[in-house]
Amino acid sequence: MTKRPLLALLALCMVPPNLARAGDLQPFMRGSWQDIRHTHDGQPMVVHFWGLTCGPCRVEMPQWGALLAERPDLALVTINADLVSNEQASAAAMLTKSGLATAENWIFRDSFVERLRYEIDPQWQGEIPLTMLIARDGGVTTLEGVADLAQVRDWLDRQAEASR
Amino acid sequence: MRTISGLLFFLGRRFSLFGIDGAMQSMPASAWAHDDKHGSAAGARARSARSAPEVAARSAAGGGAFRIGALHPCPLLARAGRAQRGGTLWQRCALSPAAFRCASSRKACRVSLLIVAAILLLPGTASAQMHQHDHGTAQGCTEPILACATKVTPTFVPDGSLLVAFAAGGHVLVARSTDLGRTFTPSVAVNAQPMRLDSGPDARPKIVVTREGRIVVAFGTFKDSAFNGQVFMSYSRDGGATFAPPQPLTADQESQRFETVALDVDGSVFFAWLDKRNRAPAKLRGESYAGAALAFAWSKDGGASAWETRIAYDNTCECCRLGVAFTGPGRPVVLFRKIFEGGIRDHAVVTFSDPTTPGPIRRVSVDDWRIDACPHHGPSLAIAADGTYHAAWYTNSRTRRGLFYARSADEGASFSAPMAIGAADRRASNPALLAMNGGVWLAWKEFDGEETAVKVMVSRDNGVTFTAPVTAARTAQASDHPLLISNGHQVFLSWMSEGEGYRLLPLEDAP
Repeated sequence: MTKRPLLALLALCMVPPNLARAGDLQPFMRGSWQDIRHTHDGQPMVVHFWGLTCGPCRVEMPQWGALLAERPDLALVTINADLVSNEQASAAAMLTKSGLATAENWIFRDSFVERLRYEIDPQWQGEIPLTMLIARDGGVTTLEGVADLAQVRDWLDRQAEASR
Repeated sequence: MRTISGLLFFLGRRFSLFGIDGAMQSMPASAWAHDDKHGSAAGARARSARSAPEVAARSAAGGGAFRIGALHPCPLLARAGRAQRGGTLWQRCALSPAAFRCASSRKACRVSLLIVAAILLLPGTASAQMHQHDHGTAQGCTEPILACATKVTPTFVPDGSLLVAFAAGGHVLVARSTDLGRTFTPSVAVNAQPMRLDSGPDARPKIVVTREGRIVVAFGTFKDSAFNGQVFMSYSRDGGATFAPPQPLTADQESQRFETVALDVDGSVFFAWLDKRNRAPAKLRGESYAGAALAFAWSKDGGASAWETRIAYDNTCECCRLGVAFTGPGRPVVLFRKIFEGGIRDHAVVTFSDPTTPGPIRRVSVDDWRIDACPHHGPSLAIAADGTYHAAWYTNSRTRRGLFYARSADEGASFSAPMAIGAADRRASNPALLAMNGGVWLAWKEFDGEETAVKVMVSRDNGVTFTAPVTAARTAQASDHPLLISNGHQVFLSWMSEGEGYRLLPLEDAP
């Protein structure tokens, strides 16, 4: 037991400074949702939930990549919440291929997925794709299924206008 | 370099980096205490495990099937390790080294600690590896034993013993219990070599046993990086001592998933699954093709071979399990999520008029859930002795959200108004139905943000009214879907959870 604080310190020293490097996915675990909300507090954010086994998601991902390139005002967070646990490398490859390597990318990494989903939305049973438009004031607009990107553009425009 | 060598030596001594064996001797008492405090079936296994370390012996017969010890200390250790919530594998290794001294876990720890060492040596170059997990190691438990299973499917054998089929460590395994799930015989692997098993929430190994005692097993695998599936079947003629090498259920190479196996009264085995073979031809014709097809086949020789595959209907939702029951000899009934016109994914039921003739599609409920997504949340179907259909399903449309139940007294031509199940604010999910002796049991999961509870309610008037729900079991960790099973006399809840292990809990007496 006495060695554990030493180990914790050791582990802390090992965390490399460039964890959020392009193409990396951060492990989404208990509390990660609160961390994301806190980090983006007061700023509009779009959160997109996706997975490799989800056919509609694979079609939709490049469209998000195009939107990210088109709209510098889009703060995009992607969360791989596949109901079949995805491998990190495969998920990263899909993000890169879709032009989403520079987005803030996360991946579910906790076997107790019910709890992860509950923290995000107590009513969400895990259907993907799912998109949440989170406004400056914290208000959430949820788009179930494949998102209508025209609606997302309108929402971004309104967010920009509101900040003027 | 001296410092690095010293560190590696330290890590090696502390965490078996270079292979310190004798896990039983060096294991701390706390690793046992974690399990013993539950004092149930898991605890009983824990105590017997003290005197019965790994049992591993190859079986000479049975197409390469082999035995793997069920009474193994690793499940308890691995479970103790998993109790360290959060953190990556290497963090858990560091926090709970004793939990990772079993064969595969030890290997995983060595690998992860070597990665840590590599990060120390090359700071900033290995960050991608920090969060690299495979399917198994994400759970922290890869041994082919019951305690490492995330899905367990039970069935009672005519002699009264319980068989469970489960997936762990890339194997589908079968174990037998003669004391209602308290202890199990050593597990027997159906697939001798590990396979990439379908790990989706609605996937699980299937098992049925014929009156003659022949065991039939089916399971889904992923065969490529695009998650295309292939379904395999196997059988045992010696009570589960050995299994025939798994064979593809169908020769077709298009994706197959969500197989279901049901036993007819004459011993014929009915297979139904979701199949994508009609998708490519439709696209060649320039037609769009939504979802998958409902496919079926029969085996008349106890799972050794299956008849030619037939397609009942196209355009099912491609990612939900099926509900299957019989309304008479040679007359299976399939409940499934169909893609109706306009992309609406509501439930439908098909009643076969004979073994190869599926009847018309009948809609269970007009929920109008219009969604282009994968719910991974299939229904449950039970048929009472008087022919009443009992259906439970999940939907999330604007007008109807959550779990619902309905009954039909006319072979699905009409259903009662959907009845909401469970607490609306507790994410009621994954229903299971069982009908026996005029009673109908309905079980499901609820989650309150911290704990998952399995709720059960019973109808004594064939589904017209139900008792108030009671909590049959709880867990504060990941868990399988709840299943209901009967030995003909009593109804049981069968449930696997990460913290508590496998539980077979008797429910109230049949009405």
